[in-house]
Amino acid sequence: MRQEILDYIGTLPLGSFSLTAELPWDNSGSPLFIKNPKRIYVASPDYATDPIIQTLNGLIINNDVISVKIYFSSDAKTQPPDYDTLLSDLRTTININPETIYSNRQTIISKSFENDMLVTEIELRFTKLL
Amino acid sequence: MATDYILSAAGSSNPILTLTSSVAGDLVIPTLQDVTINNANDVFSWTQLNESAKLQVPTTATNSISTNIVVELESFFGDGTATSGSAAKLGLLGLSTAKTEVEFEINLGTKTISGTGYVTGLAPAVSADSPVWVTPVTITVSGEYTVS
Repeated sequence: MRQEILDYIGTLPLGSFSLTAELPWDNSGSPLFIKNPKRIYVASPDYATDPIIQTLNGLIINNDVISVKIYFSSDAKTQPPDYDTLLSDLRTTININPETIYSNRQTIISKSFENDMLVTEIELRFTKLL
Repeated sequence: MATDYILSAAGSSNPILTLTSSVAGDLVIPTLQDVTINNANDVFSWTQLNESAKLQVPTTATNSISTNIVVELESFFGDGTATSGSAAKLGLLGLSTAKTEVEFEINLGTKTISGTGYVTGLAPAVSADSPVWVTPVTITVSGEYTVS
């Protein structure tokens, strides 16, 4: 899933931003996306399985949720002119693999401030039945 | 104090609901989500001048089995290879549309509740939020339950 997302983002017009195949943290746990502004990092997927239907004979139908987070930072005081365009384009990443039937596709964008940097986190959630 | 409760945790072998028509070929419903055994007595009540509350006696009962199941192809639409006219061949939908009298048996593990009735109340439904077909099933019971 991570490679598919990287491949897709690689086809987008990133403007003044760039994409890296590195994971978002170094081996001490420090976020690389703070050290390297305007560089887009894609984290490893997280997986969660939630039972949605249970029967008395033991059949369990689960929701399998795959969650991938994208991180990048930019100057908190002066927003890059292509920031909004980049954000709109990155939101379309949720539509990758249209041939895979996901019961739900969700994008959650959150922003935080750290060391004069605006950190943008985009969480992509893909849900399918197991 | 007696502590002989009946455990029906998901994954245990009970309760099992089996339906049989006049032709041999049992239909076991494999995907029960819940089962309710209803026994509702009608009540005749009257008043007497020497009593401050109504007097009541039970009369005939209305019995039914209510359950919700996950729709499973073979149990709902029938097994095409089963004997013609059997519950297994008809499936729940066939038993309901043909209004076939069935003998049902619910195995609770140490006890079995059985009787005769008719399959009704089917309403399979699916939605974007719950993308698995589920349906209620009601067996309207004709007569009394037999416990063994």
